[in-house]
Formats: sequence, structure tokens, C-alpha cells
Amino acid sequence: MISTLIAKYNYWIYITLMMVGMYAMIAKNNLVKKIIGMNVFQTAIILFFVSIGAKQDATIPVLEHSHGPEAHTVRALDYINPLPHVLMLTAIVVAVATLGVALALAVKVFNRYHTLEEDEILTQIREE
Amino acid sequence: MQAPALLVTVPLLGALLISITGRLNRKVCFPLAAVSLGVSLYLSILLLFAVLTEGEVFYKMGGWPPPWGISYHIDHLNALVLVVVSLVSFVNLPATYRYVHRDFADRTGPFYALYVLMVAGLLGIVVTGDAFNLYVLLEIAALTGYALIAMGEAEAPLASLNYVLMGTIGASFYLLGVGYLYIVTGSLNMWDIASLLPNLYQSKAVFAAFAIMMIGIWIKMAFSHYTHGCPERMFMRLHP
Repeated sequence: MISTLIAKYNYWIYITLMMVGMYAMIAKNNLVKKIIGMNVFQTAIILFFVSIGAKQDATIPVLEHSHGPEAHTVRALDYINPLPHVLMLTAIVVAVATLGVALALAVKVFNRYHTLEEDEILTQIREE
Repeated sequence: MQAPALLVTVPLLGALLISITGRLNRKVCFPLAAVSLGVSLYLSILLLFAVLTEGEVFYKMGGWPPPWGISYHIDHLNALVLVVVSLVSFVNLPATYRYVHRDFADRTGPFYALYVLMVAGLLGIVVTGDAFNLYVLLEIAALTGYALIAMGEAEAPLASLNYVLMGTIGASFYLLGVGYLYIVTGSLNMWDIASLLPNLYQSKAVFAAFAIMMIGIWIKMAFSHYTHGCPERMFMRLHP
């Protein structure tokens, strides 16, 4: 039990982070806190992808040059998998774009209702 | 034939061009949007005939062979959906003309740029053969959708914000599922995954991947009744 917990700690951390973000999105009353929760949620998935590319005793995926004949064989085990990391570069861009759109919408909501607390906004909508 | 790439690139560049020229002259926005959507309609009809006469079309982005590069793949159903999406968006464009020029007179540039960008995202979702590329295009279509919805009056920004939160959960779950499939198969190309999966059907990770991906897509689709109220409220705001 303990060994499975420790051996796969990256998965446990990403699941915990994801649920923290989801809780914030569902339960928090303040819109900015919801948006922060959304960002934590997306960051958890970035952590998951980055951790699946990692290998033990491996280095960054840049070929090590040397002049001997053994330099021409590339051992995949010596390098971490760069593909999930490259994917996450794109996912970070998407996350930033989403965050920007969400914050812009929060500004629009604030300009209209002069508050960011969701219950106060809903009472204002009901009174209209 | 370069049609599959141009199909997505033309509206994408069109949106950029509209957002730039829209600041200088508002009158060019509508014709530019009509031209870029017209080109993608023409290309999708061309592709439909190509698929009907010669069979499925494979397109390698940048000449990279499929397991490494992103491939676009158009079979008979894809070609039909392409024609439907581009035709509906092209026909719908003149219908928005009066409403947009009346209500968003100072924001015609952003409106048409977002409209064309959304069509680019939707067309990309249909043609792409890469699981991660699908996620990116899904987010392009979704983000432009959020922005378009927020252009409405009254509660529109609040409804749009709720939709952003919901849509982000859905897209993120889809991405998570792609991650699990990548762990098991080591590939992101849909046909590569399809050829590798039959031997792996017993794997728990594949079950997890499918469950997570389907949850994500269902949230995006507004499959359950917990989510369906929100888009309705927003579209009512957008189209009175």
C-alpha cells in the first residue's frame, strides 16, 4: 500500500492538485477564486504530462556530442522524453489564453455589478 | 493537393487580417470574412469531390510522415461535415450583417475576426488526425465562443464566465485522457493509436483514458442536465 503510494507519487500529487482546483471552481463564492481554481486545475494536468516524460538517470534531450564512433548510437534511455514537455508548452499557452479571457470577463462582470461575489451578483440579477 | 491545410489556414489568416484592418477601416471586415469563409467553402466542396472520386485524402503537415508529424485525414464523413460546417457558417454570415452593424457598430472588427476564427477551429477539429492537435483546435473554437457570447448584453459576461469554467474542465479532462493514451501507446496520431489499441484492450490505463476522455467530451457537449442550462441562457443573450 505504502509502496504504491510512494512509487507513483507524481500521480497522487497531480490528482490532489486537480481536486483542489476543482473544489475551488465549484465551492468558492468569489469569481477570481474560481478562476484561480481553474488555473490550478490546468497546472495539475501540466504536471502530469511533464512527469510522464521523466526517466531515472536521464538527462535533457540534447544529443551529447563526442568524436568517437560510439557517438553515433543514441540510447533513448539516456534522455528524457521531450514530447510531453513540448505538448505542455502549447497547453501552457492555451491555459494562459483561457486565464486571460476569464479575467477579462471578470472585469466586465465587475464593471456591471460592482462586486465579484457570486451570491451578491445573483441577488442583483433577481432584483432586476 | 494542398486543400486540407489551406482549409484551416485561410480562415486563420483571415481572422488575423480582419482584426488588423478592422482597426483602420470597419467596412472591409465583412467582405474579408465573406472571402475567407467562401474560400474554405470552395475548398471543402473540392475536397468532397476528391474524396468521392479518389477515396480518402491523407495530408502530411510539412511533409512529416504520420507517426511523427501531424497528419490531416479526410474520409467520406469528414468531407461531408466539412461542407456542412463551412456552408452553414458562410450562409449565416450575411444573416448577422444587420444585427452586428446595429448593435456592435464599434466592434464589427472583433466580431468578424472571432466568427472566422471559430470556423477555423471547427474545420480544424473535423480534419485533424492528431489527438493533441484536436485539443488545441477545440480550445480555439471554445475560446472564440466564450468571447462571442460575452459580447451580448446584461448577464452575458457572467454566463460566459460560467461557460469558461465548465468548458475548461471538459477540455482539461480530454487532455488528461490523451495523456493516458500516450502513456500506453506512445503515439498521438489517431490511426496509429487505432492500430496499436486492439492488443491493449485489457489494460486498465486504456479504460481510464477512455473514461476520462469521454467525461471531458460529455462536459463539452453539455451531455448531462447539470450543464445544459448555461449555453441556452447565453445564446438567448447573443441572438435576441
